[in-house]
Amino acid sequence: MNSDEWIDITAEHCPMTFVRVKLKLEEMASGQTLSVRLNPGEPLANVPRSLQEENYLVSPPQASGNSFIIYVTKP
Amino acid sequence: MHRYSRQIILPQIGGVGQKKLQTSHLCLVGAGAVGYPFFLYGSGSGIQQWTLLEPDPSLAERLVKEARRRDPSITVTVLPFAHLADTLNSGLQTGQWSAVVEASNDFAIHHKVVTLCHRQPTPLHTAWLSAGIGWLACSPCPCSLPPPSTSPHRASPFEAMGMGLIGTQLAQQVILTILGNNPTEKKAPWQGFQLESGTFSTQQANCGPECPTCRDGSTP
Repeated sequence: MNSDEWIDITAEHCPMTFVRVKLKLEEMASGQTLSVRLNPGEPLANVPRSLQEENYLVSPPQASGNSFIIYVTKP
Repeated sequence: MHRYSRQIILPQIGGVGQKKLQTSHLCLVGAGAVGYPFFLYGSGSGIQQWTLLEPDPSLAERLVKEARRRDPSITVTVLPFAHLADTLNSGLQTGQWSAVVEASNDFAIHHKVVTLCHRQPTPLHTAWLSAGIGWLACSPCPCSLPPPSTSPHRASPFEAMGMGLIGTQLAQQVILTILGNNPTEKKAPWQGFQLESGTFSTQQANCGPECPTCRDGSTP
């Protein structure tokens, strides 16, 4: 899947994981897609859920080495 | 960014709203029992630029010290209170403030600020509490107020707890105004407060078609 922007939040901890993604998405236009690299565990459980609660379209996570990638489309 | 991360998460604020808060500039009149808690919550939300008008130098100094202790990026400019009218007029003309916040415990000052700010594009948020009842108001019309001569001149010290509560409510209202999301602004300009029950209720402004400044039908 292609993305317009990407962000790596594997070095972040809650709540900055979601904050970094949210700030990045706020800079993007409607319809654009953001690729997010995140760690398993709390980030993988919470970040997609929080994004869905704010009506972002979130793809199922794909494993990539020790981390995961999700694609988030801004509505 | 860490300091405000919990706010940025909130859909009502986000990164855009946080930027609005951090670039806003407030003029605060009064740094006492209402103004001080207002400042704590306002600066805690990220508002960094403040102009202060306070007649008591020790209260002004206390607020400036608290600002320095909290965050060195907060700037508080203390202006001489003796020139209240000139300072307010000059600031209102240049449009340098996001809002004026009146938190004085002196009804004459309250009345003066409401009169000076009436019909100005800069919103005024004001509060008053005396004898157990009080109000919060957004840009009220001066004719809604009782004349200073018939009103209790100063609130009593035992009402400090209620004033703290009013100060925090005032901060909430001002933050909503800065974010452009204050439903009470213009529509329901008065929030009445009962100290005994600690409750707020929406009040109708005592301002009708006979009002010399509001008779064009606009909401005061």
